Amino acid sequence: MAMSQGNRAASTWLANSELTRRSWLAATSGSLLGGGLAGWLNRLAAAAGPQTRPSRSCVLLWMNGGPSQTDTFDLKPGHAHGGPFKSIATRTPGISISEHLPGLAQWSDRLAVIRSMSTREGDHTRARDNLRTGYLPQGPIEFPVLGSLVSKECNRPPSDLPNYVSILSQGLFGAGTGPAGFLGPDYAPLLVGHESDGMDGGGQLSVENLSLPEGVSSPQARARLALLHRAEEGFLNRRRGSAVSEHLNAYAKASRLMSPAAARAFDLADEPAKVQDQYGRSQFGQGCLMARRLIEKNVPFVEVSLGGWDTHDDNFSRVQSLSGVLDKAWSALLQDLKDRGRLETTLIVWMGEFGRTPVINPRQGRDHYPKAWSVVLGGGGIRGGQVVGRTSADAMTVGDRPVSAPDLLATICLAMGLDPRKQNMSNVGRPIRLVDPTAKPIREIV
Amino acid sequence: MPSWFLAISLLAAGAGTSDSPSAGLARTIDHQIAARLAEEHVEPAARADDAELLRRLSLDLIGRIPTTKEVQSFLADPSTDKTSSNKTTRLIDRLLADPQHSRHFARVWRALLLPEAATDPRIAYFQPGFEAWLAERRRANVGFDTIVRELLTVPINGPDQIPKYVLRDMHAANPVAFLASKQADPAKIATSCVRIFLGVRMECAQCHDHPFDRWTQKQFWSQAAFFAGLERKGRGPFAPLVEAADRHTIHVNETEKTVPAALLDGTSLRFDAHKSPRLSFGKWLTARRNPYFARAIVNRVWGQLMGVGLVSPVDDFRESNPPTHPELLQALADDFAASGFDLTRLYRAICLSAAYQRTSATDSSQQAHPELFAAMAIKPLSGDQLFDSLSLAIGREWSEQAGQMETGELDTMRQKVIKAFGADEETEHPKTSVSQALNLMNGTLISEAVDPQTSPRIKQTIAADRDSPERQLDALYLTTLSRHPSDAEKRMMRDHLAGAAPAERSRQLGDVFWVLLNSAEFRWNH
Repeated sequence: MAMSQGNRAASTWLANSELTRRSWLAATSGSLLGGGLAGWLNRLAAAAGPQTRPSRSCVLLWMNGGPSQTDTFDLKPGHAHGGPFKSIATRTPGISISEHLPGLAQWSDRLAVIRSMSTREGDHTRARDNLRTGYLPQGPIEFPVLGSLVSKECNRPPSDLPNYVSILSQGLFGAGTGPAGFLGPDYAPLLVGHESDGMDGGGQLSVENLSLPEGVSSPQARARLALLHRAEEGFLNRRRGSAVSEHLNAYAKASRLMSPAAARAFDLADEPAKVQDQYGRSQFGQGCLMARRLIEKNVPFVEVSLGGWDTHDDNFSRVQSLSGVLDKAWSALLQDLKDRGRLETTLIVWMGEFGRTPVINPRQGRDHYPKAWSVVLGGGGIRGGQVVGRTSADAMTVGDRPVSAPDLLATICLAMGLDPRKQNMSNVGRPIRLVDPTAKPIREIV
Repeated sequence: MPSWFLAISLLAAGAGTSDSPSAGLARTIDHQIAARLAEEHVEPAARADDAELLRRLSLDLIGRIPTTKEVQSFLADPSTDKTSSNKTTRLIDRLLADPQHSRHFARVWRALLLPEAATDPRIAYFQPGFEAWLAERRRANVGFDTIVRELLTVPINGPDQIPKYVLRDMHAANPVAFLASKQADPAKIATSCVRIFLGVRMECAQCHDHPFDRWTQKQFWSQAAFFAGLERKGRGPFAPLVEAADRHTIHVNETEKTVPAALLDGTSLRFDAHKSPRLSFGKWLTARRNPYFARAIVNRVWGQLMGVGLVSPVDDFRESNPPTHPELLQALADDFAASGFDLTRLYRAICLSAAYQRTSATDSSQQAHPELFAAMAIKPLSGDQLFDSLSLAIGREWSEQAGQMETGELDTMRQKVIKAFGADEETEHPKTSVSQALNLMNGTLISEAVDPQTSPRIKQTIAADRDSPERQLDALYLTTLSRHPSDAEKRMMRDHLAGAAPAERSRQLGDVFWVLLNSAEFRWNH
């Protein structure tokens, strides 16, 4: 029968939901937290086909607001646009960075600094979409962000932990279409600490609502969940569509996250104080430490956000302060991953949505600047100790080797062992590749 | 379906009916849906029972679940469909006349016209005034064409006269919030108008000719050009507005290229230097003979009530995305235009139809294809609907602290619920994320609502029926799921409650309440 394109995607979900719902209901006679639900998730995984995973995990350090390249990785000392920061030598001859990133200077051999990012979006929302999905917003198509794309490429054995975790991402994900876009909410990230505010807030970073409410014991929680599944069975049995499987999926995954083993991955109190100090007691520092724990548990994609880079005013003191937090946490992450033998298999991406104007404005600030800015890739899969491209002496233009958002994302895919040309079916009935096919990955570093 | 047959059916329907207006249109709806079902050899689902229908109508027309009293009274009313003044028809009319209907309508359309209010805290200040205006116009059953014209052609003075202040009294009716929220940007305004009032997603064409439909960049900018005269006196969304009424060409994307204002169907225009071009645009847009407008609005209202549009997505009319029931869409659009864009008539017709009144419970996978309307679709609840329904079920009045908006503190309890659970209007089916599941299972809101120490509902339920667990259970089902429990459910819950020592009984009751609040049946509109 004739079906509109929008409905075609929905009916594929319909077909899948039949299998999962029946299997789930079969597995949950007398279900307990983790017990019968494990059976169901196993069936779900088996139905999905052979196991795959990218060859490397990824930690995305997302710098919200657009960090100033001229004051971090692409200094212009002596020029009027240069600002007050001094540039310091790194471990790699020929590469200098900001004096406020001394820890990272020791890791230059594992980092590739891309100084020739050049994009066209100067609006936060559009630029964020462009850099995080690799595509420009295009009418009805709901492009998924990189983390969701990677999550979809992982067919791991059912684990208590999700494939994509997003830490401190307040403001990144609005009320609208989820970050997973047309891939559907199964590939949306688990959000950690997204309600918290401020950089040096008191409390520990945690998954919101992961622990049972006060006064509710584990046996009581198990009994409630069992009663819920029995009570809903009749109603859900007679409803069709992806709403049913998504509802069951979400509850099953949530229950698994509550298991002691999974919950422990998110519990930073498990780490000695010395380690926590190494990352720094900022929320970003804690977030990077949590990322390391999740990487160790084979979560393929973790992003940690650090906001405050939108420095239209008072750029230098703010960037100095942010650099302090960033340098400590990022260096600690690199060292910690190396010590645990994980650096080779973990790609680290440092990026924001654009850079900042070389021209300093009357408020001692820098404004949005997508024409020439910097991104840093490091860790596994990257040939470090290199600079890619360069900007003009006044930092206004890219002199050599311009890199677009698709170029960058294609490079990231290759470093992770993923094929950027792989296709997913979108919500408009058109297949869309992981990365725009015009992308030219940066072969010098990957 | 031969058109003469349809014409006679319509005539027969119109002539000599003692039932409410729109009944004829309702019959047309059922005719067309039945014809398609017959073609596909699909049996429609049965009619929803009274409880299911009452809950659905309450959510769809007044934005909340029914109260326990409303459920009991509707179920107890002995009249059935067979009598001429059947109780469902009376219910529909009662709900449409209720002031809560206008408020619900205002919220739904504010979400469409002022989506920025959800993400930009500055635009949120416009929300109460904009909703007040929409609610007032709906309450008066003003034709939808008039509402749209008022929205687009708000009088704005010339550049050397007194500017239009866009926000004064935050709660006074304020249609100019639409233009202000888009920061008087012609491209943003045009995108929104074209999408919502013409059902066309033209925004791709802002930068280049549309990749898969026929709209060109020039056409997009020719719509934006009607708003080219708007100017802000200052920065940001609160800046007062003026309009150079003689300006009606626009620069494309800040380049040198300019495009003049022109109507999409090529109708010629005459500009008057003293009259805003927005008047011509508004008049053309809402004209009865404009095929796009009536169809777009009718399709959207259909989608809101039936769960999926006749064209889906509802704002994506294009040649490669035809309607599932083209004659029905045309009949609804023609009726809407001929009636003066009467929303009450349209709501009534759809709600009276057998298609709307079907259960959402399906017995065969064939009924599951949403575009056949063999059964009612499952619809998500908006954040507002969920909040208002939770408030009733939990028994706590979360007061809106109006003063909070002025001091910039926008996170009232309602906002918290909307942020955590609010469905995106674009969504056609309910979604549940892991974070939402955790929130429902362990979050403070639900746990306080079910903890016998803190829960108003649990305390009240026990107090009302101290000695009868059976009546306590019934009360919880009525307040949450708006129905009585089935015998099987009573047995299941009795087993759960039976084992408990008397001291534990209230905690067990709290568990049952937890189950009901976490159930899909509560969180969905079905």
